[in-house]
Amino acid sequence: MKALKSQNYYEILGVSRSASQEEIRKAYEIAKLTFQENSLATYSLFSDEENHEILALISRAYETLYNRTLRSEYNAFLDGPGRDPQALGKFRPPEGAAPKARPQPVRKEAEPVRASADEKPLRPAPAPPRTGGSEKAVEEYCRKVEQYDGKSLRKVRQMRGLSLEDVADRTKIRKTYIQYIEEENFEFLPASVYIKGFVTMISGVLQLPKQQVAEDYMRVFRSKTS
Amino acid sequence: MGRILGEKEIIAIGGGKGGVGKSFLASNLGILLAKSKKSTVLIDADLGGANLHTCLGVNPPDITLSDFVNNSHIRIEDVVLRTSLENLSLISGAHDILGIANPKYSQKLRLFKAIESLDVEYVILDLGAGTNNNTLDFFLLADKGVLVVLPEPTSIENAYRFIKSSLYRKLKLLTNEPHVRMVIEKAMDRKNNLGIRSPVELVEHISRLDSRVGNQLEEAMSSFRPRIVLNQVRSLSDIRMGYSMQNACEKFFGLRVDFLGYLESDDQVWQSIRKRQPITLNGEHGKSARNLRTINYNLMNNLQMKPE
Repeated sequence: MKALKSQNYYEILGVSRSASQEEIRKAYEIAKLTFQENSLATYSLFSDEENHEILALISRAYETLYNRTLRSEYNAFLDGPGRDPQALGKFRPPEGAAPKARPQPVRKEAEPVRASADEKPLRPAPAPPRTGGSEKAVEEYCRKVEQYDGKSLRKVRQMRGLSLEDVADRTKIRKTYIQYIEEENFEFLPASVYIKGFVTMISGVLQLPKQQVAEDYMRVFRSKTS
Repeated sequence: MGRILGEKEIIAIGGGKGGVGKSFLASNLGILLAKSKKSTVLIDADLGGANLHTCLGVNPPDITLSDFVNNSHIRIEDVVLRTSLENLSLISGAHDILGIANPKYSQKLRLFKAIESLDVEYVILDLGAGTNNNTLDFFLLADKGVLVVLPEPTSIENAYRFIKSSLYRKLKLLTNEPHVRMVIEKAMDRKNNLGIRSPVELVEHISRLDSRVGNQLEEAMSSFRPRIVLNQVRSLSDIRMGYSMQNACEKFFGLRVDFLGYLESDDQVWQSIRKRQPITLNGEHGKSARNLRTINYNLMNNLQMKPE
């Protein structure tokens, strides 16, 4: 079985590609019970935070698969070549559909969505105008940064008009890892030496002082994980 | 019978915790199989505190597994006891000698070979409590490993510990690479400094060290498929615990775990244990008998429960 972070929505819910609506709903009901707070089944395996993470992922999976339109879009997406199964910016649940800067994966916990017949299919959010990576703006911003962290990496990336995919392409780091690094979501990242390596490579692409960024970031890492 | 000689299925019943109903399930599965004309031997593999004979209503026997283990002249067939049921025999565990609780490695190997050579269709191993290496090795010897769990925190925790311990032991025995074995050993401790928290992360970590061993471990994980039976179930939410455990194991251990079924809390069971009689011998129509048939069916056909 694959690690959670590389599972697709079907695997996350534990249903087959051909699962019925009813099976999907039941799987979701059980998953909700399994990963709720103080659950007997998970308290000795996962921290509350991890339970939250998993539940958020499960909700996203459910929202996508329970909605017929989204599901068929998702299936097409899965069948596409070399796709990251969770890089599903365009499969956002309705209330998360407020236009965002770029169609990036949503990490917030969305409430379960009741799919109704009159629900409109989601369209990908329009791509924002690219800034062209105005060097000046980036410089300006970096001067104000006291310590590089996930947020500032994301900010610089966006200012440079780069998507997660772009960075993933150039660094050959898995996209979800880049996303987790920006979110400072350490639970799903590999050991710290790898994180440091990743951050160094990412800052290279972002044309930031690699060593300083890596040192700053690892300080953040240590303060959050110790 | 059309059976290839020596072709058999070994089933282990464990659960980590004492008093969860391992012997109860083991003896009743044995009875069900024997009644469907499958030659079956029940082995009390609880090397410290055997009690399977009691579950079958057999008096403490004179010759037990410990005689086989301690005396190389005694063959495994010599310690097989007949029961009142056709097709069902029993190898009783040691109930008095403490020495056998920790057999030497060579003794264990001889025992495992003997078990595999038994001329029956099914072998059911009733394991002892705890997660010591002997118990884990019996579990890993089996073609199918079943855990009996009660829907309560201590039992669930113990079951997870059992799954983790047996999986890590399986992985460790797979490789001779000292550095890989060391990583696995370290990973057993949840607070290890490698940042490995789950078997999935362990395999990822090892794959980065040595992709060949990593693949081997991955393969071993995909073939490791523990089954769960919930005992003393009192409500619908107790039953859901089976699916939840399955779910949690999949996400945490990265393992496929089958929820075979549950046994409803049943006074009849309690009474039958008092009377030293297995429940299925008493009544074919009680809820426990029905529950048992479902479990047996799912176990034999590699199926699992489906949420209602």
